[in-house]
Amino acid sequence: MAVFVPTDENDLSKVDASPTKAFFVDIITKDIQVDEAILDLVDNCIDGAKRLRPGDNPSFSGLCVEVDANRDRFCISDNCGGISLEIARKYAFKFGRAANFVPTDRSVGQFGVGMKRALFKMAKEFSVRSVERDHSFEITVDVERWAADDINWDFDITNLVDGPHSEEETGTTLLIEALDPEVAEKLAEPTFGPALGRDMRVRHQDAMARGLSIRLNGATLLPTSLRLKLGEVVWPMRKEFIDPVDGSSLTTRIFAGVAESDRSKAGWYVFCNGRCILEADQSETTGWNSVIEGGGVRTPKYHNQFARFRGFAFLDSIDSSILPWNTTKTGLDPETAAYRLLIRRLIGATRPAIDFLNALDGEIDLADAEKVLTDGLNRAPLVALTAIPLRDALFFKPPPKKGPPMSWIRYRWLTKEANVLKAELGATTYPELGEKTFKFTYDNVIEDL
Amino acid sequence: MVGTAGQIDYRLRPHKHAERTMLVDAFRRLRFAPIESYRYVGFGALAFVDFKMVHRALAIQDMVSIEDTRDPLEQRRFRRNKPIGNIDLRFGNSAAVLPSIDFRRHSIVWLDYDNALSRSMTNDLETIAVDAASGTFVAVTVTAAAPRNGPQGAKDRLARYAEEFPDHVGGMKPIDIENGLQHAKFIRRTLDDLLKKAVQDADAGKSDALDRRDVYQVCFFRYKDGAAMMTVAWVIVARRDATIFADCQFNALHFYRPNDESFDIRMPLVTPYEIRELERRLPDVAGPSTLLWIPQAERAAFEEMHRYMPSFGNVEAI
Repeated sequence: MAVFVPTDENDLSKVDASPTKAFFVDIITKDIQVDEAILDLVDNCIDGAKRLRPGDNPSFSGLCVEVDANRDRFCISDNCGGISLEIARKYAFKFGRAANFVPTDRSVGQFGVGMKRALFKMAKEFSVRSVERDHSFEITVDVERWAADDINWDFDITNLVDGPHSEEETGTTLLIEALDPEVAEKLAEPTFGPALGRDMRVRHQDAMARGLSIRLNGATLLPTSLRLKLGEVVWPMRKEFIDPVDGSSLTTRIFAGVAESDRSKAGWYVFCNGRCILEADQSETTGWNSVIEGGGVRTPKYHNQFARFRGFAFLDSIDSSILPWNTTKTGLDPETAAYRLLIRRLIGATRPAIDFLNALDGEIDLADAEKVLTDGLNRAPLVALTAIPLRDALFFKPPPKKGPPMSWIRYRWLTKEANVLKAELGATTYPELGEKTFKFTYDNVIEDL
Repeated sequence: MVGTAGQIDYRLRPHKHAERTMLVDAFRRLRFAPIESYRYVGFGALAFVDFKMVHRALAIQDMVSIEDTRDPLEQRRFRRNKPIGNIDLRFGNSAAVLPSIDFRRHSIVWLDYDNALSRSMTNDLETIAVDAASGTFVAVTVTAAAPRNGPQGAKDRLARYAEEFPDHVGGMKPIDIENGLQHAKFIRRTLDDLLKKAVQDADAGKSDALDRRDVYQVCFFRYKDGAAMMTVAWVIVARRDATIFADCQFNALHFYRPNDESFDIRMPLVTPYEIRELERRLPDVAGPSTLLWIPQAERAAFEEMHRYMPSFGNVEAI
């Protein structure tokens, strides 16, 4: 196998040009940043997803990549098919692409140098565990010990067990418990995680839009493909809750708002640890019926104004047993404590949205010029969930039909005194000072509040 | 809420006045935090009577009044009528405003509706319940008249209830709500059950049993100024605070009602002269032969209600 045959000391016709491993490791890890290394590893997971679900327009629904990165430990795991024994033995850990390697269709990472240089960059010791259809096995490498031997370049495969394994069981876990000290320092920086999350959302947006969920340090990354109308007349809800459930911590992020009118997309979307458990739900499960009350709307008759409603709930927990999903992880289990908590929150989130949609519906018979909500909503941009600010409840406000008449007021005053007042009123510019002094005077003289 | 404010002058509703005064007596008993640190959340309407009372009687500073109007002119009228600067006016449906209020701090919430029980009211109640701090006092007022037009009206009303509260209507028949008391009992039972369920659901995942909350009903009023009304009030208490709740001694209030037996507010029909005569003989006004000229029923009502009687005069109370 990969053994560099040493130069025969007695052969005076040869010079030794074989690399030392230390030099090699140094070269391949020199120009890579930790965040790039991690992104490369996620690329490898996505390649796994592509091998598992080939085709022009694959759905990655149900596939998940989990990244945990902190001072003590780095772990990336996926349920994307695992690395096959054959690929592991011949290609995956080879430095450079073997000539006869057949790459994954549309692959992003490809087994070139990405995974190895990421591992060497970050780890003093790492292990890779793969469960694929036919086998499961582990590769554990103590980097220093491996580098000390310049002759043998092989990694050892351990715990090799024959399959078969079902698709649900397959996946790859890469674990580093002995981090390079500099890398550990980097991972511990408070800004590192959020920045990495932003990078992942951008780099992996296509895979995420196809349903791949990526979780970073226990929280599901919000896909940029999910969007709500924001501004003009309506401001969606975004609220985060952290609840103790059965002794573990449950993080819930809820978004409720409106988007384009589409019956098939309207309703609640519930994600548990990144997996979409419920899609466009308008049933009792999400409390829909207890919100749409009276007037016979409990009957199957559909009300068009609700086709704009979109709600997203992301539930994450390190302890997946507290999540409100059923045993097959395909639906919500109403008996769970987390569900009983969630349902109240969903109802609370839906009600202001329904209030808005009813008001919007009320504009149907108005003249076009008076449809301020409809107009405003049409103008409002669709904004990715990540860019939506926190707000306790959906808020809406018809904009003034036409701005009231405005007047200019200009005056000069002593700079010294103006600066004193500017500081006192917390104004940053003279125009702002002008507005503040007017408002102050108006409120005190006219007493309209 | 502008609508009802225009219908009846609040100052001419003696039973409503008594109810407010009794509720303030109940609020006063809260021992979970200094009462002046509580927040009061209500529907102030144009008169803000309850707000003035809680501010004056309990020194509560933090007050939120919810008004369901989006009309700028109406909003202006509310702002102009706001009697105390501390009142934070929030315009919008209670469904939209309540989720934006943080009920994890001690609050007294009075959802003083003036229409019949509906799902949106119980949804409001449930919204408060999810996060309500231990020691939260919550009251709900709704109209509770027996449905008009006899059996036919009761049938229609029951059909609506069945749609909105299928679990609570069960095997009920129209006759079960034809009578005002029966109707009120159904409403109390429904509110009580949904509130308790909301609290239990919210607490289902709490592993420390002492963090779980119980709901204690403390008031169940029925009264009638024009339309028949009813109010149910509860205190939400974490188990670790059970002894604090006991210390509040709500049961010492003569109008304390923990179950479906209502306290019916009825003002004595007595003249100002009779009031003075009765007051001078307190506490014993039911027995003395010197008062026999005042009908027994009025004396009994006086004994119960004299502290809560409004004083009317031609002087504008500010």
